[in-house]
Amino acid sequence: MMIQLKSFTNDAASRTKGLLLKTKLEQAINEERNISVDFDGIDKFASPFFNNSFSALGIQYGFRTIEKIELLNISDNGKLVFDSSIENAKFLTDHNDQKKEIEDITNSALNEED
Amino acid sequence: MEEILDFWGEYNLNKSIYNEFAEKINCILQTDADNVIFDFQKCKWFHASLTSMLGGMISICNKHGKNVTLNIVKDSPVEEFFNRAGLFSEHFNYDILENRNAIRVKELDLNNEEYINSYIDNILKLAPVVLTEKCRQVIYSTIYEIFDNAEEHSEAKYGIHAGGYWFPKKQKMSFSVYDTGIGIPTSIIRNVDSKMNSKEAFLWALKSGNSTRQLERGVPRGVGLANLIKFIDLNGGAMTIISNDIMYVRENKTNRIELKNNTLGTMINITINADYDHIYTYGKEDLT
Repeated sequence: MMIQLKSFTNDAASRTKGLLLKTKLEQAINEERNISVDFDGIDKFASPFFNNSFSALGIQYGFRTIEKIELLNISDNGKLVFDSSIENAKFLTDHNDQKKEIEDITNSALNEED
Repeated sequence: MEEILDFWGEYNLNKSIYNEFAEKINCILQTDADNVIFDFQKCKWFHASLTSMLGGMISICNKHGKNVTLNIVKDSPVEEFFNRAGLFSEHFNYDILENRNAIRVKELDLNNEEYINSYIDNILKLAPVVLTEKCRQVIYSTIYEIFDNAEEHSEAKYGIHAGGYWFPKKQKMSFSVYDTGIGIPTSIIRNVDSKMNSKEAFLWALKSGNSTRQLERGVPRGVGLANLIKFIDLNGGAMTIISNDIMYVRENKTNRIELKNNTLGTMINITINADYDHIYTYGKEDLT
């Protein structure tokens, strides 16, 4: 499944647009499809977008699932912002103080699936 | 009844000026006067990045129902600067005076994403040098992270204010955002650990992965300030954060943190080198 960012946003910066992408990604993950996200035409990047999409899903579904997603036509700067968001989210999953909260989130997501 | 706020001498980015601004903000918050006079008659120079705090002060007056009067020497350099910086058009209904270098003082609506995009685009259009695509993207991300940080910590009662300047000869940009909210240390102490002092709380907020709204609805946060520091280090620029009683300066890859007079809000100021070499370095070093 190919998600063309340009079809629904002009930027990869805001949390609102990140949430839109999250919905599309989550649907594709649940359908167990190969996923590509095409950043063609996107030149604005900031962490709220990635925090609310890829990183939030990484915490929920595991980062292996997220790392399988192919990023197409993303600029160097976009990749830097993406990487720092993912690194931060991974750090959180290893952070003892946050583990309980993460477990709660994961459990509630699993309950929703049930 | 009136309250006179005197602005004497030169207003640069330093601790004594931040202390004076804190006193002035506290004075505005406490005064019963219904008319506040900002007296710039003896002001010789005013740094562009302080216009965001000045905008915040005027906004606090307005939102407390106080009349604001500017006392300023007509046709003086300071009057001309304020006019070019957009202070008069934003707060006193003057016509907008176009200026190629000024990032005009604005009270920002951070909930309006299109507006924010357009505001940052305008900053980039003002650049006195031809910015590479990569450079544009890096500056965009940096400014967006500052706005996001302002939105996270602020709970701003009196708005979020921005302003700055491009310096064509130096190929530098100085830009600041002042939110009139509760401040970073107060936010951390209130939401994370009530036993922390303000310095500990502030340093906690600087670390990657730390955020008062970490994992809110399953969303990780806490990248913004850490990314800003990384960018400033690689760019060779400087960043100052004034928040509650904290003055933090990041320059030459070192932290300097001092206590200052306490007041509300947070100002983040960045001065960045906008020439090709400095901006381009950011991506290259980080990708290796």
